[in-house]
Amino acid sequence: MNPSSLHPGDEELGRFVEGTLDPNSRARLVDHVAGCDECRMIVVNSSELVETPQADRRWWLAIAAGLILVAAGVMFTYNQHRDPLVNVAAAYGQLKSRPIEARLSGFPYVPRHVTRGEADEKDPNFFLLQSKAQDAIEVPGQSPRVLHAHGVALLFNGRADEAVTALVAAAIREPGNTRYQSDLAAALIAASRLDPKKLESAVAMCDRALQVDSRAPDALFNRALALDMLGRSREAIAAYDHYLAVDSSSPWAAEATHHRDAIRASLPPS
Amino acid sequence: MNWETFFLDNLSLIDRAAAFVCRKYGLSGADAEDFASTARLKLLEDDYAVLRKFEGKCSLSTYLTVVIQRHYLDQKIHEWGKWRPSMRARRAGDGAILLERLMSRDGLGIGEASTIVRQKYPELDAQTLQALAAGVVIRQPRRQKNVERTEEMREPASEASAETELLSGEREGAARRTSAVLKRALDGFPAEDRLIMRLRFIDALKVSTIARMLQADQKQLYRRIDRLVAGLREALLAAGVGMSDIGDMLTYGAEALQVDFGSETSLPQVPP
Repeated sequence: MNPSSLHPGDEELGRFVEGTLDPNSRARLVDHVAGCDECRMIVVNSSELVETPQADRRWWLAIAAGLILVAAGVMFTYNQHRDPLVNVAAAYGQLKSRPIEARLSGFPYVPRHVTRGEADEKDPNFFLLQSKAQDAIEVPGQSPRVLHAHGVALLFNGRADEAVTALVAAAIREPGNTRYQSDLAAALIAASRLDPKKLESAVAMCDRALQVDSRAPDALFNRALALDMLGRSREAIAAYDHYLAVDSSSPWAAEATHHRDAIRASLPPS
Repeated sequence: MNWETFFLDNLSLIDRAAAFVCRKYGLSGADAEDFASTARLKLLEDDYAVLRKFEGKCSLSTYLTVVIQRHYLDQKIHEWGKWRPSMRARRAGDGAILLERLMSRDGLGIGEASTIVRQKYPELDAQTLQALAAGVVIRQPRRQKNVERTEEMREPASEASAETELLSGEREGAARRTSAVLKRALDGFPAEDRLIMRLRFIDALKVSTIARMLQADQKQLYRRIDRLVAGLREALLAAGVGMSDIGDMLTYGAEALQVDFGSETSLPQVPP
């Protein structure tokens, strides 16, 4: 430590950033940085530079850098093939009530209980979900898979409009992927706040997904839901029936039946 | 070693580090050039004392970045005196710092403060300033309690506004209670855990970066963060702060909500 200022020495901070301090020095430095905004700020900013390989190292570091590049390539390929939403979906499964009304592809069924206020924020597991979603948002890349992951994760962090943008980008890049189209519809429903234009776009996205796979359950469910929210009751009943023809036994089917029956009950007797 | 040669050999690295610091703290144009010159002078001072201190235990570029950032912050402490801008403003650059100073320290309204800031930083448009101003915490004197209502004081305009005021008061109370619970819980954390929480949730550092600094296993660190968050959640629930209260504060805003991660070490204050 530098006794004249109480701050650690500059080189010691540099070593902390690079992760090369011995345990005792590190513990001492952690004690200081935990309570010193200035030093923490320096550490945080400097860490950005350390992310990229440095040029002023010895020759053997060049070999190490080469190996790191190979490893990074392997990691990149691995990340390209690994679904960044795996942990998000697992955390989603722990919720007591699902935060969005629509159905997301590849996510487990979670009932939706609507209470006064934001029901999802009463559930402690929702914060865990948001943390996992944040990790997914931080996954780098512009591949359709990554863009799709960003879009779905943004939905859980209350950024539905940004979610739509990311999912549109994923759906444009891979128009034959029903999952992307259906999840885009889910995001449009979440972002709509009952705006008919967005809900109509959601119906259109589901139709696109159904052109590729006419029995895609997520798209069928989301289509019925969007029609229901649009107040197009008879079309919504037909859409729920269509869904139930494909899935008659899952918890989603029970929900679809419930919605359909509620719409029927609200219609004037013919 | 000839330190002058060392300095000249590494001049481009020094300038890159200074440019990086300028970018991080929002300096541009003439301000950035001025700062880069003072940074070079700092390295020349006392017969290259800063360079002579370098022992090669970290990379030179990291060392220079730390030194030049410290130089920038020292300069700012001279300028700001005892008033210290928030971390948020410091990150957003000098324009944001000036705006915060005018609004928070000097008590100017957003319109007046924005006009002054735009004279010095014309590149900041109205929308950006508004966004920056939204994050400025205005320190207000504590309300006096038990103030008798005088004729000049307006009665509540309507039942609806009275209800809004009541809800806002309740929210403020809940925010204060939440801040106190979080502070107590965080104070109970060891320094390393407090630092982890700050780096992750205030500075939004990647877990991999934190793991590198702490020389910790990344997977274990993820689990540790989850545990710490769960600990805070339990503390809140035990104190009767429900997640719905937090949601309410996040939705409607709660100025009284401040998350204190522990007291700062005192810095030598330069007289204003």
